[in-house]
Amino acid sequence: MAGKDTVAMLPTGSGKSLCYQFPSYLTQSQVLIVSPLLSLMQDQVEQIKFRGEKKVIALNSFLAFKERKRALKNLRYYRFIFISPEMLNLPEMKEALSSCRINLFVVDEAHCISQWGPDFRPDYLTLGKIKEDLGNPVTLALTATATVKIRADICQILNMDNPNEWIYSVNRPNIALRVDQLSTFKEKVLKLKGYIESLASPGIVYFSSKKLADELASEMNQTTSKKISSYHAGLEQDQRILIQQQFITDQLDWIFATSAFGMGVNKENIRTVIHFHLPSSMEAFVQEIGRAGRDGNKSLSILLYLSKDEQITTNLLELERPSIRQISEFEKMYNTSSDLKKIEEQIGLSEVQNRVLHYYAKKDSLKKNWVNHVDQQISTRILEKKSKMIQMTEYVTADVCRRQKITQCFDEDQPVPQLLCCDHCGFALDPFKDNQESLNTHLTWQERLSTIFKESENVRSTKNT
Amino acid sequence: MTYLDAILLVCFRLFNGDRSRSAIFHLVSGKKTSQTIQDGHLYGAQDFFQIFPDITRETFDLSCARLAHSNYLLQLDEQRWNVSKEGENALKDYFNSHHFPNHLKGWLYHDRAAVFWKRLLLLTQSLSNYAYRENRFYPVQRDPEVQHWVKSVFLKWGNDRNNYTNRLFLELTDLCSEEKFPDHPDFIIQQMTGYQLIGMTANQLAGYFSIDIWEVHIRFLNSLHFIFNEIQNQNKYPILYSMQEDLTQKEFVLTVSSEKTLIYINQAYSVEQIARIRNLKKSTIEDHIIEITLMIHSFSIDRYVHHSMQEEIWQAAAQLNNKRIKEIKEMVPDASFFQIRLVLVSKGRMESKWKIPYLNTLGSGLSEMVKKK
Repeated sequence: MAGKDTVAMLPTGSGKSLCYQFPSYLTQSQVLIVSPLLSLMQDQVEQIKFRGEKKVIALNSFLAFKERKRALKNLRYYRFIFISPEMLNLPEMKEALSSCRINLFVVDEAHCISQWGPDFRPDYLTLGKIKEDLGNPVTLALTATATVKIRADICQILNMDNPNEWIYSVNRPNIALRVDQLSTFKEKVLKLKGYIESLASPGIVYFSSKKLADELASEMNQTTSKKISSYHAGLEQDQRILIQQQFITDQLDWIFATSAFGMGVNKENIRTVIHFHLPSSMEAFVQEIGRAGRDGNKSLSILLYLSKDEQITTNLLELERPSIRQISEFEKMYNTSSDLKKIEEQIGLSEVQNRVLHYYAKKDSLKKNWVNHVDQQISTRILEKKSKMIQMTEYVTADVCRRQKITQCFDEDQPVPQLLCCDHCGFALDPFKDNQESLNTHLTWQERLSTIFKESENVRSTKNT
Repeated sequence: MTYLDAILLVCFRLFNGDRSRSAIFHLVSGKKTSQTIQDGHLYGAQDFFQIFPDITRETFDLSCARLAHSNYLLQLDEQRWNVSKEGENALKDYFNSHHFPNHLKGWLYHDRAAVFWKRLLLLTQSLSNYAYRENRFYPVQRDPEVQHWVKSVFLKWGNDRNNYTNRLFLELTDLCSEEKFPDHPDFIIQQMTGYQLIGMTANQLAGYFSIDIWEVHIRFLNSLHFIFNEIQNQNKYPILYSMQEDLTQKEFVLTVSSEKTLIYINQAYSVEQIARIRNLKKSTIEDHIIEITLMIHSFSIDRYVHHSMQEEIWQAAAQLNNKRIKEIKEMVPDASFFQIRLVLVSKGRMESKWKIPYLNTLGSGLSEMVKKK
């Protein structure tokens, strides 16, 4: 608020969004918020609207052409403008923004700059330039988890000069930590099923595969007494909204999700977070388990580990590497054709690969021996990602306190010893058990209609007949 | 066979091997080109227009591959497939034990019913929260136009809201209790959201009824189209009627260019004259006339094809048992391609229900067992 650039690392649910909402009302200023995920952006906008604020807009690809045009024309009347990094790079957007007076530039989930970096959202890397174009407004980078190195990355890319840092500990004392090492896939599924039946819900199980999340959710929904649904980016938006809202109103016990679920979901009483697969990094892991126990009550994190699980992720990483041949073909085609989709098809690139190569083509086009340069850059990124994986594997295999292992990764001091700590320090699962049967709340269609429309008398009359 | 496979097989059956696989994909995914619209009308398949708006080409191809693998589809040539004898039988068996969607009106209702449904969902959620004195909730519909519509109705109803809520409740109850309501009302009502009571997803309904998600989707759509048809009765369902009366019926809407051509036709200009005046190709004007013939049932084609030739072409088509223009042309060499197309389209429009009896026999197998739960 003193008008100084700030990097804030706050645990989720601690009111991160207040950091930019409050100052806006105090100083009557316009705020531009860059947000990485469409669904997250929609959720944030809904939350602000829920509060009663109407002058808020999300600029993303959901917006129909006509609405977008209208929004751009009236951009200066909005107090909070949410925008995806891709949109931010469009010329008409830059023009519309120049009519605004942005006093605060917020980058939400700022760790994406580094964690997802060139491999995923190249547009995030141009935020420094955008900030400059906006006349260098005060910049606030928000994140739930970022190591020292990533925080340095953020400051560098956003051209933040000697910023304030507000760093909260990644340690969440009310979350107990446990790892189960299993020897077969079947055993892992059985273990999960046992937990689903016996552990306290509401809970989230994270998967790295949509298909497996779908399959196991539908299987366990049938065979256990719990209500379970899957959630991932492959679902239609209106179905995603329903599942989120069912979870928030405690109509669901468990959500089987990919990492697409969680950001922007405000739920205080999540008791258990289980990882069925190894997360891609310690940052992702800490952020995901941090969704448990926001109410401060005791909660539980369980990671199910099958030896060689890390191999799956490593293989996925290798698949993302374009071959030298592909890179050099890209170079040739890029100079003669501007049709990105065509390049993608002809060379047989994945969408992500194409995006990465396109980014480097724009950024380093003048480099001599471009092909080797790019290949090297990509190799470096993959190595970095692999080292993140190794950190995660160490969390599983190391023979020390898991809480200590986490704080180490973020260069924090050792945590204070505590009672329900981790499976190495020893704790019983009993306090986390909950054998309550999920209530069978299926209403007949008549009951549902009467309940929705609050026509209780009619409920009685239909039941009597 | 999944429900998707079965519905696609019905479409293949209707197209009778005359059209490519892609034509069926365009039909069910709802591609609005005049070719797709003509195909749909010509083969009496327009009710299946855009019944799977979100289907991907990949999913479609996989389904076709399953059908071919089971020998339900026979490949005629590279692009064209027809239903085999086994396929016919499998289809009959399938719809003896599964619900058949007799009320689909894809071409007529696809866009209007979708908007009506979104409005109903959001209006219901809003009224419910209002009834429970909660003025803050997360809307289940984020479409700004739908939100805007609901807001304006909410304001319009003002202090009469509770009265309207009660009437909407009664209308929905009456509707779902109708003798001829085609399916279990759960497919509609359980998806609706109210105060602290969030609607079920299609996946959850599939689990509850132990059916696949495609069946959920089509049975929902079938009931929705039934409802949409019923609520055109303004006296019986005044509120539900008012929720869609502003949505324009697009059944007869012509493209702008065809509309201009129609004006000249009505002034008795010939095809050549119109082409010259409008500075367009003759074939373009002919395409317009095909479109007009399809869309306006009272439009007579006699001025373009002599009566006796119409008969000749139609008989050739019947004899060949297909509607492939090239083969018909060989049998009626005097007719132009335009004339053949025109006859097929105009006859097709009258006979567009020619295969509906077939569909009805399939559907009549619907037993109480299927309607269970």
